[in-house]
Amino acid sequence: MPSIAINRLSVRYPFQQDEVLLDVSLNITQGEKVLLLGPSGGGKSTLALALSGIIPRSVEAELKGEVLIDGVDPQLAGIGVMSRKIGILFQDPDTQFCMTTVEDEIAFGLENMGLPQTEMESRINSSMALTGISDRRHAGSQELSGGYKQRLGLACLLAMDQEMLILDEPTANLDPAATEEMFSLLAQLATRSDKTLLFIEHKLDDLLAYIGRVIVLDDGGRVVADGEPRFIFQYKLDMLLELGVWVPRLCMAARDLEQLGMVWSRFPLTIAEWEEGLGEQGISLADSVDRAVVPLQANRLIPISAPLLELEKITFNYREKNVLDDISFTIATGEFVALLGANGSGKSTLVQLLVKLLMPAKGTIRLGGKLIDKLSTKELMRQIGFVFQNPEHQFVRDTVEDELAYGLRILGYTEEQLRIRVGELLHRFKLEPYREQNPFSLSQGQKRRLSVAATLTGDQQLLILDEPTFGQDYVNTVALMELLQELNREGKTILMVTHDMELVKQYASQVIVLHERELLYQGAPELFFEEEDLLRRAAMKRPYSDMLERWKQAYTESGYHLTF
Amino acid sequence: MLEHWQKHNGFLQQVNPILKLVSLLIVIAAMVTVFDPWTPLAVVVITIALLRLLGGIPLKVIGLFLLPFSLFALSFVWMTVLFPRERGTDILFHLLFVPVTLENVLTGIALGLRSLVFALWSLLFVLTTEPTKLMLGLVQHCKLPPRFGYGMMAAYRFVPLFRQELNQIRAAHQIRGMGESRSLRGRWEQLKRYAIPLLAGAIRKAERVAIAMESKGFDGSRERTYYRKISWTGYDLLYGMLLLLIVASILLLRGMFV
Repeated sequence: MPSIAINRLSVRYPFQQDEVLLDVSLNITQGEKVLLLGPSGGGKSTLALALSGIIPRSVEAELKGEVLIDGVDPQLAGIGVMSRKIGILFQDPDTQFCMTTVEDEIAFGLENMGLPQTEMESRINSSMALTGISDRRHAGSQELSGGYKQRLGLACLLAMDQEMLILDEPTANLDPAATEEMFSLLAQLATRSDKTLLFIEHKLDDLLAYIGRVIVLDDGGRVVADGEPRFIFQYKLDMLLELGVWVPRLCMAARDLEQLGMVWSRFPLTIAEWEEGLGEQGISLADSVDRAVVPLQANRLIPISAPLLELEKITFNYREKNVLDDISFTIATGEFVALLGANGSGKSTLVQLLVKLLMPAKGTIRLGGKLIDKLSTKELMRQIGFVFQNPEHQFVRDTVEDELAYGLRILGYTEEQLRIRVGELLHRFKLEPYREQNPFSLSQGQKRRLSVAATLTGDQQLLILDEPTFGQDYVNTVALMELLQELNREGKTILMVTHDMELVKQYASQVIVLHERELLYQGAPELFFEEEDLLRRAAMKRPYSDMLERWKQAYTESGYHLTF
Repeated sequence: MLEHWQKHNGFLQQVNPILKLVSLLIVIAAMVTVFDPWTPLAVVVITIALLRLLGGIPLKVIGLFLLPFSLFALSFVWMTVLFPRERGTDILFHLLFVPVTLENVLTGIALGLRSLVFALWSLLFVLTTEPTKLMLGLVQHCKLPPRFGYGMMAAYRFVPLFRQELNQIRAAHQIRGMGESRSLRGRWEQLKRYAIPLLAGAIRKAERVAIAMESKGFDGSRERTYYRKISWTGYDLLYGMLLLLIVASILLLRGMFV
């Protein structure tokens, strides 16, 4: 008997025309490690909730078809029964706990199961040991870092010891170092236990080695592919890209080589397989370590120009705690700068200082040669656009159109100028159909675009963005980044806080790295990725594609050798 | 800050939260019947001593918390002295032609000290009781449905998150050129602007937590066990006896002097 049997399942939320899941039929056997892929809003999380019976029990939705978990219908079984069969690790670390301390939180699930105290004690101990949080037993769950919170989330599930775990993007809100730790925990879990694991994840590169099966949903909630990862990523890559789903960088690169003539005896899913495959062809990385030939992208060729933003000896304290210490750097006009650093290294504080949301204890900030202390909010706004992490936070009007016009009105645009400019923005950011809608009713991607558009009041020279791609799917991320690149080419200077090293590699002309309150590095990203020591200290990871590109280069070079 | 003292290993922190809650209510009820200034004064001194000696809370901290309440208490004295319901006869001096009488001063002080007693006992409760223990106590001993108890805990965890989110919203609006308004109308508009994103965020958070709790098997029923049992211990007996002793001695002293 399969542990999960889904027969023609369709789910539709109230007030929505289309189903989020349509006619889904699947069988998953005990112990399978499954990766569920699909565009955002494509029903992955809905499926997770339907499997555990929370849909339709607590989240209202119309459900057709049949779901059986170990032969039990989650709709008929109670909350208690289902919670012993399926555990879910959620995306948001802040909203999956209800108790104040680590041990109470782990105990919560066990209390619900009605376990005796001694049994709880031993389960709490072993699950804390497995997830490496034993030393935080009495810590408040609120004080933990994002990475520790997700480990605690996992500990809660391991203590309950369900046969099936659903991991719904648990690393989406974590920085690269914490993500890696989480993945190594999950990898251990996948190799050591015979639990059925259902991964919903888009940071795929580190995960593939542990996945036995990939299921793909399209934006209509239908299953459009189901098979071994090697098969899916070799033959269904185009379909995945078209759906706007994140695809492993390694598989993309492997496909690129295929198009250059490479014939893989086995399509690679891990870097080891990749090396092996190319090794069979007599290609290794040692032949080509010369970095000088890596071509610089066109957008990096902007000549060094006048300094736009100058920070001198900036120190900032928060409640007597030093957050930034003696930071000095200059950003030249026309740069595309990525501001990097582990969580808590002071990145957000730094960008808030730039727009006077915070005031430094010491030091000066100049914009275009003028001290920003001397500029009013209005003047500052005219020169700097600031985009917040959560788009909803900056909406101040009731329609998309008004939202766009708002900033322009403050700057004294006439109605005629306003009409033209708003029209341009609506068009450029693909928001025309929604001009009358309330900003809060837009989708994630639309909200993000609106928040950027509303910030662009006209002729700012500098655009500051605080983790703008946070929580965005592949399509929206690419759309946003291309937009930024376009603006950058038009001459706007961009300063973007991010964790995503692939984006840094692809778009940034410069990186500024903060580490423990200090400036660790400023310079070209290519050079930073070479500095293994710095990377490690800043809890950063070299982007996968950086390494893959070198391989690609090695391949093409050897290819020439073969042809001529 | 609060948490630090709540988790401090003092005598009062070990007392059953339910007992502390009951004693708080009794003290408040009893004080309502007292009109002389000496009894509340004695209670204030005793309570501060309890907090310091049995709760391990430094006098500086008590003073800091008490400061706003003291101002409140002073305003009581002020009001009663200047605008008494019935002016007394024993005139002490004149304040800008208003006669200040001994009777009114004593009533004022009595009222002010009474409000301090309320404040101090509330402090005693808040500073020495972990919210989790209170909730567990109410669920385990007072028939509070677990649905409410654990729901309240989840909500309590959100307080700092909300503060953080409000700050972000304010910053975001500020940078878009929305200054903090001073006029009444402007403030109302501002409140509305902050409320929508805050509410949208709150509803989403609440929904997620509810789903997470349910996925861990929480159905709000009483069919559950407890990892932490809030039981009755020797501490509670001692605490009860101590309170009785204090009440008895106050009554005795009152009989002698008042």
